[in-house]
Amino acid sequence: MLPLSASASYTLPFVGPGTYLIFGIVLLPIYIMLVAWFAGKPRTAKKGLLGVAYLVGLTTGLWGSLFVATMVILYLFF
Amino acid sequence: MPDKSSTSTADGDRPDESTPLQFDDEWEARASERLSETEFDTELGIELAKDAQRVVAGELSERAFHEKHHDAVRDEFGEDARLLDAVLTEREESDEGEGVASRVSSLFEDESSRREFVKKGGAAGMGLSMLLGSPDAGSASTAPAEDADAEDTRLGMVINLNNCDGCLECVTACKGLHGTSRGAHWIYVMAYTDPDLEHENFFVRTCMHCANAPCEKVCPVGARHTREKDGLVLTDYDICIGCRYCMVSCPYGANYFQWGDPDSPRQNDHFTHDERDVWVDGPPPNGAMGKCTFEPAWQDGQAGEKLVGTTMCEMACQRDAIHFGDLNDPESDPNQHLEEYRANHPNDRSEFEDRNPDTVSTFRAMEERGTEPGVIFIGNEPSVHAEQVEGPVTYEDKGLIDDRKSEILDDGPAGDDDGGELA
Amino acid sequence: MSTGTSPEAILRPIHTYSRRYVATVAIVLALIGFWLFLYAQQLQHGLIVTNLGDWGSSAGVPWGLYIGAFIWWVGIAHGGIILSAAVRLLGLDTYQPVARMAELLTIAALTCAGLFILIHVGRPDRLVTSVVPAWPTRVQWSPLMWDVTVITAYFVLTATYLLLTVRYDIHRLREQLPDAFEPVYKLLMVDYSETEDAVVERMVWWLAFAIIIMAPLLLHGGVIPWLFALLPSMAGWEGGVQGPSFLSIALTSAVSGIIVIAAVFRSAYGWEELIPEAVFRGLAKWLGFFSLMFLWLQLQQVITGVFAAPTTLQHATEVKLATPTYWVAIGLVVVALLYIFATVLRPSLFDIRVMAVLSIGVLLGTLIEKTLFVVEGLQHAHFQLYEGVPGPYIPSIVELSAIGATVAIVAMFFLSVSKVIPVVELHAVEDEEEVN
Repeated sequence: MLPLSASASYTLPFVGPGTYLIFGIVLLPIYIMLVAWFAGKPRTAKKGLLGVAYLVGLTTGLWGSLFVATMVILYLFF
Repeated sequence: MPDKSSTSTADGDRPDESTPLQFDDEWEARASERLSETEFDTELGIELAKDAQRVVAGELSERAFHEKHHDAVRDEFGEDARLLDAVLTEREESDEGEGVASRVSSLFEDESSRREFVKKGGAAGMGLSMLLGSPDAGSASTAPAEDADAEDTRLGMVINLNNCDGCLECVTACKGLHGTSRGAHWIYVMAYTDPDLEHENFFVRTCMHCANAPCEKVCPVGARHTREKDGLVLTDYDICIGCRYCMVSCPYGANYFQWGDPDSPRQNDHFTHDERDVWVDGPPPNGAMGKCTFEPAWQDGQAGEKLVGTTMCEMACQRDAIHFGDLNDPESDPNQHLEEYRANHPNDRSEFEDRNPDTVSTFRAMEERGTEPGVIFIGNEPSVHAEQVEGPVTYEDKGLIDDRKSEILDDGPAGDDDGGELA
Repeated sequence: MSTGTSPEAILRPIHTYSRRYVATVAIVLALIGFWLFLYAQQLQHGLIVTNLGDWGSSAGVPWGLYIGAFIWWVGIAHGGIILSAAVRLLGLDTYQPVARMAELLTIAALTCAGLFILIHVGRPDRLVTSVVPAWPTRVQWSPLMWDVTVITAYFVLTATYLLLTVRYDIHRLREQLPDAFEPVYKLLMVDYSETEDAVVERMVWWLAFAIIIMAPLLLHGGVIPWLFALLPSMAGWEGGVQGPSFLSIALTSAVSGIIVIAAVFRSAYGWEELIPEAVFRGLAKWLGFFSLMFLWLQLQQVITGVFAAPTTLQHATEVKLATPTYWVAIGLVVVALLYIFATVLRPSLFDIRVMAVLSIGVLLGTLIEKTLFVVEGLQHAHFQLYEGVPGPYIPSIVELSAIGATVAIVAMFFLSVSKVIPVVELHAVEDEEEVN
């Protein structure tokens, strides 16, 4: 099976400064953009979905290729 | 050398709790010599001192102590200021007996009579102040070190820098146990000079196992974590990606990265994995981060009962400098040591009773950084002008110099073919 | 329309192969290969082959050129959105010819930044398996995880922007594009119809908006400086000034990067009319403005660090001022600024080649400044007792070769992409009335 690591337990509370920073501020422009994609005119839901597909696909592609690269490194050197 | 197994703060020998205190001839001779220098009765002095120790050891009650010598003290000194009733009443009313000292001293109406008492007191005065010193625990100086939520166990240390003499035994022992690579000193002792201090001082740097650890906050993968059970800050060697952000964020320089293969790799045994079966001890694998752990496997009982509640450095220290235990437990080694040390370093309050009861200085390193460190130091805090110097025992003497890089880099980036460091 | 600004012009890189092109590819591949050989040594032995070390009793520096270069590349990446936003959001059409190049630079630069993270960590094999499962919990706390999140977002948003905007061009130029890459075009054009143009125009407007809020303010003026400013350990890193300071450097290096790339393409493909001098004069003025901001924010840090500062901050600032390399970095930026100012007073002095060379100097200067920030920060912690600290740090050959390799990778990226899609937007050569 894939060597995925589980997160260790720690006593910091789950919610921290990053919670508000990332989900409340940093990603806010993206939320606004997504709403505008599906709410403004001219629009079609189809193109909005194409945009979302690009976002999701690129994120997966980026981390997927990185994953492959790290597995190659693991196999060759560790 | 103080006998660690004894609970007595005095010089009496005590093989076990059931036998009465013994005072050997050497002690009697010393006491006799000192007391004969005063103008007062040597025999009485010796008796008072012995009984005072018996009270502390729990063999004699305070009431009995006062009753026993009341007449003799009054005859010898003209007055007996050890007000029995006041002492008993105060003790019943408050847990720590705060106010006893002020109660007693309020007996003296003016300065001159206090001074008289001091001059006349001799050994009795010494015995009394010892007696009065320890119950005065309401003040901060004698309070046990309690952190955050007092119900939780918080493992930490009291390190007595006044007792340290830079022998580096702790450094050597730690390295022997954990198998850390050259240059990685999970405990590190620095001799230093300071413009405001006359003599060389020592600073012993372990990991502080902070309650508000920046290293834990910044770890991107959660490898650096705090164990809920006892507050130990540990690194999960299976998850760590070696980004070194913990080292960058630590104000103390407690972290040591495994730059190459470990000198003595070690894995998958009862020492390297704690009771949660997380790999947290021994040298880290190549590319991961390590630091002082306070021996979680020992604390979990995996090395036997005797090693629970102690660390390698504490065991190796022959100078009574390192004390490890639960900071939230007033009876723990570190708190006991604090209490004893304070009792052994009383302040002269014979003239000025509002002075601090003891002359002991404590601090936590770089507390203003907000880390809430779990190590309390007794002694002087290095100032901003402190400079590390070579100590009486050097790292070279102990064979602890780091020469890993030269082995690899001397041969150029290609390194040696085996890819490992030579042991 | 003159031939200099026709659709044919923008297709020139796709239709021509020169010996110079092949030679450039060879050099670039050699640089990458050299680094790969050394990186393999690092993977085999560990990071001990670098000149990095533990701070503290070992008097080493755990973060060095790798992290300096990481920050530098993220800074350069900001050029993309600055240009696209200027054109799309603010209507500054002058820069339209270089907008796509700038976006491509963003993608390439962010890739290099990510590569430096891979190179920098001790366990690159765990970079995904430890990071991804930990994201839900660690993003709540760790500034490094915030960094990972925002860089991923910036990359994905810019790539989406590129992929959406290139469809317009490919549709209209399809017949003139090489058959060899037909599968690529098919993929890029999935579900395309001309009716989408207006919708996509609006969508990319909002993309540009999202990026321009996020990238400068929250990435290079946000999570990246916060990696340093939020820590309790190092004296030279503190303060709210770090956010604006880092941003000013990012924008300075970003515009410099665009100037260099645009100058190279202009010269290689005879694009004197497509990318007129006015573009470079305009970019130069922006470079002048950002450089001024950078110098001004350095001044802020210097004066607050030397007047009557706390001992550790005073010490760290004095060290900075006493470092000759710092003044080299400042000097490289000052020289560019002086030249730009001179050309404002005397326009005839302006020469694109001079501007491009000075921009390379600015890029070098910003890389030096960022690396010094990281390294000197680590050499002057608040805790000052360690005798060996500061220990020396000179980047090793494996670290230096990575710089060359990433520059080569960016070059390789442009050399490849310019053969597949137009690196100048079709909009830039169409009539303005048609576009609007």
